[in-house]
Amino acid sequence: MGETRATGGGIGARPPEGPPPWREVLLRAQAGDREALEAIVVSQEKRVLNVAWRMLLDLDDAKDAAQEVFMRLIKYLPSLDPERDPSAWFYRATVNVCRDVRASKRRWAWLPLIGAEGEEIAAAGPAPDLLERMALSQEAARVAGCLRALPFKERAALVLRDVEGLETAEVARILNSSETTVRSQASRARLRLRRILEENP
Amino acid sequence: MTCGRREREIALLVAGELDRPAAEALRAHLATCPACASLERALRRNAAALRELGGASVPAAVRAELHARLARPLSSARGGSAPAGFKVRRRTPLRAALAACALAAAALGAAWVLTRSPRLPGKGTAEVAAPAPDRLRPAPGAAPEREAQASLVPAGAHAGGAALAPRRSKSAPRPGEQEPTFVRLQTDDPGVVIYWQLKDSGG
Repeated sequence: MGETRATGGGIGARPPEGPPPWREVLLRAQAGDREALEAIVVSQEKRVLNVAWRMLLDLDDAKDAAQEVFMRLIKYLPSLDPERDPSAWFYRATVNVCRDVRASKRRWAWLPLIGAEGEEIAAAGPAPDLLERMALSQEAARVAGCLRALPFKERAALVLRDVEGLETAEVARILNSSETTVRSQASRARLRLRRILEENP
Repeated sequence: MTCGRREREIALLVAGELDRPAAEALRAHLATCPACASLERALRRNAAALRELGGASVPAAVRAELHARLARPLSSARGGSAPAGFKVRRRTPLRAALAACALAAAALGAAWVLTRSPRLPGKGTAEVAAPAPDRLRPAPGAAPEREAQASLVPAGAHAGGAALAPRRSKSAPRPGEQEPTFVRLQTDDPGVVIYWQLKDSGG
């Protein structure tokens, strides 16, 4: 097997998002400027909602998750570093919240079954709002529906890498993992997804 | 290397994460292995579907609902009103309950104040008790057509001192007698109120 290629770039190399500059607006928000806090929410809500929905594949759950992300923003606002790009914080918070939301739902769910290797084998099914509300093609809706069957870590790596289009180094930083691990998780997720799709034509 | 062991490489190739020598070697294998070539095509189709998923955006209505949910935390976080563009979700039943509680508290407070306010006759207030008609006696030597019959009674002489009207006998007027007429007279002393009973002497 050949060596993998570590891609360049990184979260810190991203340009600040939208006017006004992130550093300025965060400092104002930390000083108590409510409009600055609102500006942060507005600039990040679409990203947070979309990532939450792609992770959970349920709009109601995505709303709950996004709300919790911004509650954490309010809580941890004083500790945010204005010199760092906010995308990593929001991605990480969203993934963590999605994991919590999913865990809370699992406590009361009939599924999943636990596989021989301790991996979750959830039932793959089409998400009800994928086609109508999200206007996805049949193929995309089918693939999205099967994403639910992936173990959470693999799903997170695949969503951030292949759906969000982030570089492997960024995903590793968001997930607090190594690039090798992320690469391995994403590859396993692609292969597992393909098997699930074959088993659920 | 079996085709099964190539699967991981194919997954990396599709994601563009194989270096050039490894990618060229794998492509050579794909040209000769229909099974691995089929896997590569399937993974590329899935990758395209995932990219489409990444291009889909949550509906605006969902964002609006998130705004409504965040309006209250945002305003309370900074101690101000809800920011522009964020509509506070109104909870009518809760507001109605709070309003009812406020009204009830106001009514109780008003009742408490009223019950504690002084009422006449209070302490130090004099009351004129008018005798019943059957107890009236004409004063010796007095012959006015109308004479007032009254006696001054200290306020504390009545139990509780709460009588507001002249005391009268509970006995009914005798046949042929008329119901007595009273006149209330407020004196300069606010603590003294005089009631006059007017009696028709028949003249």
